Amino acid sequence: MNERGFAKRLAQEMPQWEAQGWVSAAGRQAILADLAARQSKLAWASSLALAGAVLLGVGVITWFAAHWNEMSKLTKLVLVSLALIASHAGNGLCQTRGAMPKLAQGMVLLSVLFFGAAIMLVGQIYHIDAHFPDGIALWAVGGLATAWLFASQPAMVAALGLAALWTWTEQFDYHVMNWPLLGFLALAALPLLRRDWPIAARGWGGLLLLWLAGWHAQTWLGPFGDAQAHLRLFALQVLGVAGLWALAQASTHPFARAVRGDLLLAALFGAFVFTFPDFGARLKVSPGPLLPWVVALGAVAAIYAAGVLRMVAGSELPAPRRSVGVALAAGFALLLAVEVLAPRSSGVPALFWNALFLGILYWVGDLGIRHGDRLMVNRAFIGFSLWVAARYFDTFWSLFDRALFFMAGGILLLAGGGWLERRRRALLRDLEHGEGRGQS
Amino acid sequence: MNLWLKIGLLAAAQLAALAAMIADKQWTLNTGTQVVLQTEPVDPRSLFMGDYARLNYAISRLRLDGDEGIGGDKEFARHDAVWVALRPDPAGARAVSVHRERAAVPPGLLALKGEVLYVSDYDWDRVTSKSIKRRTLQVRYGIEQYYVQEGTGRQIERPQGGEKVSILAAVDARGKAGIVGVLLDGQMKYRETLF
Repeated sequence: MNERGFAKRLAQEMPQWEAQGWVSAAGRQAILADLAARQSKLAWASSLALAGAVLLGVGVITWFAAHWNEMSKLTKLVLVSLALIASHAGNGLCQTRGAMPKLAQGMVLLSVLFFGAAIMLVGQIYHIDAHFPDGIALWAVGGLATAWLFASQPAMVAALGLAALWTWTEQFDYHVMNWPLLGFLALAALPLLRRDWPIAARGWGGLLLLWLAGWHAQTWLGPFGDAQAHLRLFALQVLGVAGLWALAQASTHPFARAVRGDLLLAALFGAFVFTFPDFGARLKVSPGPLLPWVVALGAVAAIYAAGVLRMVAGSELPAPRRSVGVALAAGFALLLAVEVLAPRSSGVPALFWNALFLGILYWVGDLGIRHGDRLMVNRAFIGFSLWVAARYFDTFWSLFDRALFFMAGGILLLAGGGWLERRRRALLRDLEHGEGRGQS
Repeated sequence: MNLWLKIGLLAAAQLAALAAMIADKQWTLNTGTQVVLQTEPVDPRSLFMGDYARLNYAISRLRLDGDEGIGGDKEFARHDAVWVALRPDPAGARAVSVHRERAAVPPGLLALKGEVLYVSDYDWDRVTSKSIKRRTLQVRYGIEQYYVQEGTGRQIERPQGGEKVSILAAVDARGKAGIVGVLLDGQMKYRETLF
């Protein structure tokens, strides 16, 4: 709550506290007067400082922009360097002299932006027209170093965003695998493991998923949507992501807690894709050797097995439910292994996938309720809603004529959607009450 | 670690990275073999943007077959790295062949590294003003942009009154190119300096 909101709320509550005898009338006046005085002082000071900084910044930037062409290269270089150093110095002053941590974080973020501007300006001054993603990579590394040194989550988020742009251009535009990104991810993971940065941790997970998706833009895999290699790779990726989710789910570390929701969503999405009867049935069978795929499957299965074993070892579920979980995990791995090893030639595997997907959703929802994890419950319900909608379009289209299809299907969806939402709210209410009881 | 030490280290590292960019460019200009490259008018659609001129060279478009076809490899894809064998000439260097590997560049010729922008099976014939079936490569060498004083870029991009614009470039041992200067009718109009 901000200062103004806090003061308003306090003024509303005070009469009741006074009536209860918790504070005296004089005390109430003194508290409110002190708060009012502090608030106006803070607001004036910060707004004037902010306005001054903005005006100064705009003035300096426009002056230099207007005179940029007349300056020598040396002057331009000195200016670029000074701007970069000034943003760092501003951070230092905010931290030491004024003890303004929020403004210091702002200066840290500004220094990341200035470093990017400096790269572009040096490129312009010296006519450097290199491989475009290299410049973004350098910028991202600068942001990562800044986040490391000043323990700044905003700088880390900026660095991860830049790395996403870097890997996007390398993998989706140039169609080159961005292997150096693995090093970047490893370096970014180190501060994330030491600090509780949930936003940056989710950004890290998103970047990893983007890198995995970028494999499918590689030309050596064959045309997308036409070569079976994509399906095999996708199956391996889904298995690997599910393994990472299991490892994260078994951990209580803040980094694992932050990243596991998105990993679960990605794994569920992967399983959902396999539920479509036509998926992969018309792909060209890769003529290449099977051995590399078997080796890759073994490696990814090891990660998956490690995750599942850790989950089982740390599980507080009763034995029957744990057995169901293990059976679903084994079925999931088995179906994915079949997708990797044997090309799809019919819609039969989709029948097994649909049954398994529903089982997984039920189990995930159940686990979410038991752990009091609303995110898991919501994801299970979203997954189920998507599954109903997908099967509705797959199945009913071929069973009814158009008018009946729309009417019957619409009624079913409305009824099903209403029932699902009621169940979800009831479950979340139960979770809240459970939490309340646990706290009391 | 002390806060000011951290700030000093980061600023030094970032400035060193910027200095390395400049040093790399300067190394190309100082050690590279100088060669004159003829420019061609840019596509009328790619007009002068901001305060930089977009440059297109005679060697930017390589014809792989037909009467004017050059030697070397024939199969390329977008973003492939290519090595172009150049024969230097005061009137403008000429591309002799194009290769996937540097080792394939014939001895005695200058090896210039480029990146395939696109491969086309059709080419525009300026003489007949018709599109003809001819496999061509559009190659980028990293010297296609030149930042100039605002308002003067168009003079370089689309010279008027029969002016001939050419670029004096340096090609270093790695095959990287850098612009040393801009020549207008053979006379140096802009020359690159360190500061």
